[in-house]
Amino acid sequence: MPTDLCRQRLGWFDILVLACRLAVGATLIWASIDKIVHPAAFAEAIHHYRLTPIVLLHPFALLLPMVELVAGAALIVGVARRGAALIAAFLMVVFVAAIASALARDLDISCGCFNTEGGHKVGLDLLWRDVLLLLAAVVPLLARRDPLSLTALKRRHRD
Amino acid sequence: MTRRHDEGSRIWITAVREALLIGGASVGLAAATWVARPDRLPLRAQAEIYELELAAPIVPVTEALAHFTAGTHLFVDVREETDGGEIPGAFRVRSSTFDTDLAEVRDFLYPEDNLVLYDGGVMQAASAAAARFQERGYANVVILQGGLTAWRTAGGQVAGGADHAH
Repeated sequence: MPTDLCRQRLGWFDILVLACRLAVGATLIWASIDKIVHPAAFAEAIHHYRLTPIVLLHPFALLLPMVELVAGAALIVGVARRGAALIAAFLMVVFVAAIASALARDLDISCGCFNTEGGHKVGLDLLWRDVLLLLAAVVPLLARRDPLSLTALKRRHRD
Repeated sequence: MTRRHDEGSRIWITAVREALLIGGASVGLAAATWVARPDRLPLRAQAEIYELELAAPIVPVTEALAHFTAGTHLFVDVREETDGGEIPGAFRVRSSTFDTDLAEVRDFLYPEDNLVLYDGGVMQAASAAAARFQERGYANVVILQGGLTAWRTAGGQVAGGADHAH
């Protein structure tokens, strides 16, 4: 099976798709872990943005990291690649909007992105980082080929 | 042209279908994790817990504007540093010099007065100041939601500083 994977000839675009998948996937998984372990602290971090109604705060704090984890894992292994990339792109749009809104309101808060306690202050650098991740998520969403993925491997075996 | 359009549609249909599957799996996994955890987070957040962060109730900017127009409340600026702009008539009581500043304005601020405290917008400084006002016997203290930033956005009057437009 690994031999099959190695036999695939990768063009520069395949490498770009793979790099984007791995980068976005790893970032999402990394971002989800602390939030899953500390849901209460993450709920607090979300509340600091003053955008989420109290009634949705805990369901959102429980669900969002799990979506990040599943979508991140799907991107890395290359299963349901387009769906995972669509979710990643959607999440990045939401994060960019939340950060921009916090900046517009001069909120002096931690972003709650990777670390629920302390963590990075909301700022323009975070905004640009999420815009970059959004662009990176669009690549596997629209790419025709799916290099080094379980789906491609399964397809090769079937053929 | 039609073929390209068909392919584009197929990409989006696949993406949405797969995204729904991932969403469903995430909901299932989140539910299973929630059930398995002994220290599970209640699904419904208690508003009081989150509002406890602030030492006093918050007042929306629209309500604060009405208080300002009616003249029923006194406004207190608790910011350490300002850009020169402030709500007209606001008293200045900074946390670093709280007692000195309060002593200077004590003849104008009575414990029974309705006070609206504001900071830049984070409301942490206003909350800390509210706790200190309450310790000194001021019972009717509220915090302006979103601070001076929200006040400016809502078109509230600002005297001095960078807000000559208002």
